[in-house]
Amino acid sequence: MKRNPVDPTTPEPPTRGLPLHRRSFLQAAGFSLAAVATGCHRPPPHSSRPYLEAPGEVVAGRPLYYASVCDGCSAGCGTLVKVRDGRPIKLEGLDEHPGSRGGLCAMGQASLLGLYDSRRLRGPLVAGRDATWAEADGAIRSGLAQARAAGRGIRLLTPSLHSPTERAAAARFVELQGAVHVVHDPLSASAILDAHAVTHGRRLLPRYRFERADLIVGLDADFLGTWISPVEFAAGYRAARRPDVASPRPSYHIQLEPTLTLSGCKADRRLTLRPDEIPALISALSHALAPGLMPDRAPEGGSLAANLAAAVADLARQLQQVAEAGGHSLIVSGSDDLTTQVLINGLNFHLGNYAATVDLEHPSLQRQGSDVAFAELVAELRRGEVGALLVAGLDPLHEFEGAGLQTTFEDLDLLVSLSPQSDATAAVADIVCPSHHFLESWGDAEPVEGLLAVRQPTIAPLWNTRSLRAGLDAWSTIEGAATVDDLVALQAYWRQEIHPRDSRGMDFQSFWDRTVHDGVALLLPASATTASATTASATPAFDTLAFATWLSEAWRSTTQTTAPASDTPTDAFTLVLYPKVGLGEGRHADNPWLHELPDPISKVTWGNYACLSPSAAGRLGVKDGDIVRLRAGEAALELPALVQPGQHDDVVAVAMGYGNRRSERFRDIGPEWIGTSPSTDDEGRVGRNGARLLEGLGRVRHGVAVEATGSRRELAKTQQWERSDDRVLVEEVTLQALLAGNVAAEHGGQEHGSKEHGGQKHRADLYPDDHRARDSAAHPARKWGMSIDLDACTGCSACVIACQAENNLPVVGYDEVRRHRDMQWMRIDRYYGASEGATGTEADTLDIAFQPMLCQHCDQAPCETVCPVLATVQTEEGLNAQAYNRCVGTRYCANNCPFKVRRFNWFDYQRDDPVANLVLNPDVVVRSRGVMEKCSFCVQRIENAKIEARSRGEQRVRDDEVRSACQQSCPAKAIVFGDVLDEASQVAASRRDRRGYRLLEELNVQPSVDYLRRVRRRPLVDESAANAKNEATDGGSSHG
Amino acid sequence: MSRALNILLAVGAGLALLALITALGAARLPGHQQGYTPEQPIEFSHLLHAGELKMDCLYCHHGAESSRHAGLPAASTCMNCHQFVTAPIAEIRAEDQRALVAERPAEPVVSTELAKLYDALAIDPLTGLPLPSRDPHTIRWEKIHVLPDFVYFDHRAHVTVGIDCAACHGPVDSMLRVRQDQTLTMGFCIDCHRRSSSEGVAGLDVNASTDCSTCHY
Repeated sequence: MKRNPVDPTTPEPPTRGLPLHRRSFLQAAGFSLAAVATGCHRPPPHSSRPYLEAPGEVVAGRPLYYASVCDGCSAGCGTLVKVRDGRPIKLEGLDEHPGSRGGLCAMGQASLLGLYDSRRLRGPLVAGRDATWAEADGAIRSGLAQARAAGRGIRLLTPSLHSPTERAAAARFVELQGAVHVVHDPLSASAILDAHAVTHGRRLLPRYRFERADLIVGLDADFLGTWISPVEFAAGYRAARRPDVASPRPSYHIQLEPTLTLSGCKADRRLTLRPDEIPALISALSHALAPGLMPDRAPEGGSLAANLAAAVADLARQLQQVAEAGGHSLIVSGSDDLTTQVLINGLNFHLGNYAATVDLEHPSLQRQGSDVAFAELVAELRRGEVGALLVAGLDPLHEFEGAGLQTTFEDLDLLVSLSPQSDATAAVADIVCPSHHFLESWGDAEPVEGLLAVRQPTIAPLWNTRSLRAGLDAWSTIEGAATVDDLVALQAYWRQEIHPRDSRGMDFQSFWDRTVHDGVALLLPASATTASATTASATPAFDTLAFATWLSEAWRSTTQTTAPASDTPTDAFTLVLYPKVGLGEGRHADNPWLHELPDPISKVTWGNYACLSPSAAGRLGVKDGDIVRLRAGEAALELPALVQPGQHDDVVAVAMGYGNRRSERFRDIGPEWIGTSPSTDDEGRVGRNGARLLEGLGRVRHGVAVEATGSRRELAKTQQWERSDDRVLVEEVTLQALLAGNVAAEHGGQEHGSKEHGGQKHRADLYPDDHRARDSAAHPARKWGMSIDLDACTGCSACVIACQAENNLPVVGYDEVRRHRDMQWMRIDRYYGASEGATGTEADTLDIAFQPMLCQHCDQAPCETVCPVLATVQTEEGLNAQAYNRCVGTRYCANNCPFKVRRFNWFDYQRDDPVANLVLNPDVVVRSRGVMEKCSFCVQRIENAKIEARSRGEQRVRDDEVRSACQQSCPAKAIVFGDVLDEASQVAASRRDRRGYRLLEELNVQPSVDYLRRVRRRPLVDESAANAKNEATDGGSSHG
Repeated sequence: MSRALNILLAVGAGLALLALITALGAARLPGHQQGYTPEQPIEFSHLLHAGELKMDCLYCHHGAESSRHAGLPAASTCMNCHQFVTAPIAEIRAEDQRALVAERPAEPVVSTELAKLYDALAIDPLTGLPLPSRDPHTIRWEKIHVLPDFVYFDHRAHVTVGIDCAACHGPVDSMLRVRQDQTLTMGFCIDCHRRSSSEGVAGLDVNASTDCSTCHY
């Protein structure tokens, strides 16, 4: 009989006491003794290597800050680069930048990590082998000549270049090589540009001024998350909606969208719709609002759903009233439908928004791409008319994986990629000329006309890379011509083209020095200087006739071709590829910080998923993590499902940019132990590329079938509870009540006990009255505190990455996040609730609240009382300090923390990449295994500011001198940090705000973090009637 | 149990105890390196520069005023003087004497230690011009005062309130080769912080905090 390996019937004889024999014990004891004796020797010698010739400004250990331009996306936000001992270690927002106003998004801050990516290409490749620049340039020149000789075209494909110098270099290249420059943006605003060509005679993208808008209508445009310039828009949006100023504006925001976005989460009213319903909705709105403007011939009445028809009537009424009251509205749409955008231009014109909220005087250059030109390029490629293609800053083979571009690329004589990474296009390119990281080279940016900025290099190029400008110049000059240094080329261009636009009358050198120092200069728009000579106004005006003519023409042709085929099965879904906050279109798919950044809404890390509305998921019988198969024509894609409230029932949404070749590196990320599942899925990449399901060049596909497969891949979520259930964590107040000074009454009845802020309240307190010895008198110097405005917070997660960069937080990988061992000190809790008063479907009445959650630095901290080794203690300045070297890892503190903000180092997380380690902040300890950690209120910044103040002979730390990393980066300025005992400080002012409350006050832990209540705004119309009706009954809404 | 084994065990235990005592005598607590006097790549004398010549500590270690680290001077700082001074005065006088006796012009003298500095900079000590045939290379000094990675000591904070360098570094101006004078343990720091808070520093009141987060973060 075959015996089982472990036979339960014959148990092993029980051992008495320790299962250790005397001999083994003695061996072990002897070994320990020897280990102790040898272990006390000196640590290995340290050596120091000072400079031979010290650069003047460098003092070891003292950071230097350089103003520069972020290149994480094409928004061109201003940034201040912190350089410590020659290494850039942190990107912060540039306060003086008039666009981004001191904020910097998660993507921008994380782009720093790309500099220290040890897997960047380290030099040019010709046919996959290392080569010199001369060899690469020679091969490219002969390839270009060959293409020209064969009569085939040369095409340069880039995303929007907001650098005027790069644009000029591209123009020179185009002229000398007879090439065509095709600009394509993966997140395109092409339709808006084309619409302005129709209505204003010039193809331009307006600069949207959210700060001037009283009524904002967002149509499938996530302007707070990913659309065009989210940091700038978030700052403007906040400026329009500040409730804490003398006379708050009754601003209102309506969002209509198929998927749930950050902008939708912040909207006062939100409606869901299918992407294909947008044209009909805008058409109906135009007819309702501006019938005089419209051409006589109207399209056949679209099949507008009942709730949308009601929404149109409501929108029209509100927009009309704002316009009549002399206010300004703003309608923005991310739609790629030209007719829709033309109609929106008409609406914005009719409402008098041009020159107010839609700024054409200083148009944006953040998106210049043309979908038409790109479609033409693809057609040319398919016809074999292109001989040479140079691709910079894009990865078309990944972006259009389903479009079959791969085969057309094989026909090319020459394919050049300028990608710094071996991406899908670079992998098949004949020649790869890796570009610098943006922190390595001189450059410039003009994100908005007239807003010029210089990008300073903060480190010498780490590898043998070259800028796009230098490359283009090398290929457009005659062979053998000397290459010009980036700085020389930049200064030459600025001397000739930019300096004349300065009206301050400085000579070039002072102008240049000033701009480099400030990081930004406000100049005349390029168009103004050329146009002012000929016309009185350079700003193009709305052409009513062209608008009407174009529309009637467009509608005539659409009525002929009829509406999209409606023969698709009724249970089919519309697939929407959406950009995820942080990862965007996938440009940073090699960035571990961004992969581990939880999506602000779904809270999922590592990988994408198919978002389905609760009812759609119920119909399919799937829940979170069940793998579903998406089928569209021949193509199929398997992804885990995510039940996403607030999404349209007919829509399945998949984040774009995943399944990237560059994410193959994350197979082994995170600690290795029993039962680890890798961060990559069975295809070896993080997530899957939704573009496989697309047929054309759009981001939407109709008629996609979704079916359950029965298998599962658990989602690595950082938040397990979707709702705050019976306790109110995010409190609210209506604007009307706030203005009436009636904060407390607005949220009554839903909390535990009395929660009147700042007033007398009963607290159960086990401590004697004299326990709180550290009230005012005991620590006269300072008391650090924070205030977080929940009305301002957009959930954008910039603070999460800021904290990660500042405090050396490790990346733990999918498996650890899945086990709830994520390490981010700042998390943004998201709670779903139901809006009271709103009517409609569940998705339309969904209410979403964000709450940044970090260590609350309680004055009576529960963690402190349970630590057996006093590793976590209260400091005299009110911090809840964590001494890592004293911690023995009992984890009692984490168990006793009511806010669950403590993080435990279960492992020594990977720090084995010497290049990647260069990003570490030397002012913060890298924690080792077995140690508890948590938010420290950036104590390293506090200590530094205190020492700086003392060096100046001052006792007080200036209010703006200490800013926590999260506070600095916040685009909406939701976080205020400082000394609450300083009456003049911002945080003290914020504490006096009537909206303030503290979390879980019934526990009497006395947090140092105040939250300011969200403000609920009511529609601007029928205000008095709404007031009268709701005053008695309205209790805001609850997240329960 | 046999008597022989008992004896063997007793002897073994005795030897182990002996080894333990020896080991404890030689071993220090981790991080405790009092008396550490490593050999340096250049036999630089603080006794001469800080002691006899009375040069200010901050002339070379200027970071102590403005940064966390006091820093080591760049080789170019040495050259402020040593482009002129290539050898100790005694050696130069001796050569002058020899030249006088032999009735020949005195030859320039370059001391063996300073030759290492000129070599690092790849310059000709006599003309001060760079030698194109050689590559400059950095000088690898041995660090003496090493604190554990989880401690953040800031020179600036201590120098600006008037703590004497010698309070932690000892009489460096009398050391031919620098040695770690104090234990630099946490107890050493805390003692001074407590004393300074109660007694003040240089006649001024200070608040030298003993909170963990003052040094550990």
